[in-house]
Amino acid sequence: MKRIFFSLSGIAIIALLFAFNNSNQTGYTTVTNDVSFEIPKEILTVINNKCYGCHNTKSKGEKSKKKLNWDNFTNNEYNSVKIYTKLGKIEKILGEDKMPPAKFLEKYPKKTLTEEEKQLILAWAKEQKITLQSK
Amino acid sequence: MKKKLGKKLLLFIVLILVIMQFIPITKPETKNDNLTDITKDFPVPQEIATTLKTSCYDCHSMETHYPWYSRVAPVKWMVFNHIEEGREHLNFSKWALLSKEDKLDALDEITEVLEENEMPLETYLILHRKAKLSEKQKEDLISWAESYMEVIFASEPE
Repeated sequence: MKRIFFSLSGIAIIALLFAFNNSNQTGYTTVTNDVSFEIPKEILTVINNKCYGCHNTKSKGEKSKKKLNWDNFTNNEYNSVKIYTKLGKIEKILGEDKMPPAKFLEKYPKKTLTEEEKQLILAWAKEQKITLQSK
Repeated sequence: MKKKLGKKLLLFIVLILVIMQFIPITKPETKNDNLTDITKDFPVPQEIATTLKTSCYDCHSMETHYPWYSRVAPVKWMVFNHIEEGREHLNFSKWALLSKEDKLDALDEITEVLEENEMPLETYLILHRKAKLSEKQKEDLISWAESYMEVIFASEPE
């Protein structure tokens, strides 16, 4: 009986350690209405530096906000279908090098996505789409 | 003197208008019964299909109905341009050719432009009163688009 208790608590401790470890690796974890969605730290950094300025709830640009609002990924506004759709759109837009817009980059060349950042976002979007679909 | 000037000006305008008619421009082609039409790709409810055809198809499909004034420049330049651009953004006659992602994006944009009252275009509505969407039609279209998105999302990945 004691053995079972010890092995059970051992498993529980290992599981807990895993859970904590996981949350440390993940920069951002929030549950939307029907899906748990994660944005790893490295992705979050790129988004914050290069995209969030226009694509957030308080943005002055109505169009950019309506097209994509990063806050909505984590505040229950987008459900899994919407998130999947936006990720698909991100893949398309980045694939065509349409974002950040060329005109904006003329003024703020530092906001250009590096090839590495682009590939990082694309790989993440692809992976998240598969995860969303399998849930 | 003033009368003469007015006459000259009028003649000049008429001349310009006549010349305009000879400037070549390609009319966007039309085609009915498209096998790749959205209504053939997915069971679109009759009411929704009717709304789409009445309010969207002139610019967002191959089934364009050209009004008489669309034969006259400079109006025809604007009309042809709107149709070409409209089809480029979204062409319901070629719906079945879109990828899963593109279908989702198109439906997402449909809800967006309806919520923002960006479509149908004001300039189009001036001469197409029937195309104006009622609040109910708009709501129905949005909820149809959203439910169709769920179906596409749940479908097999390509």
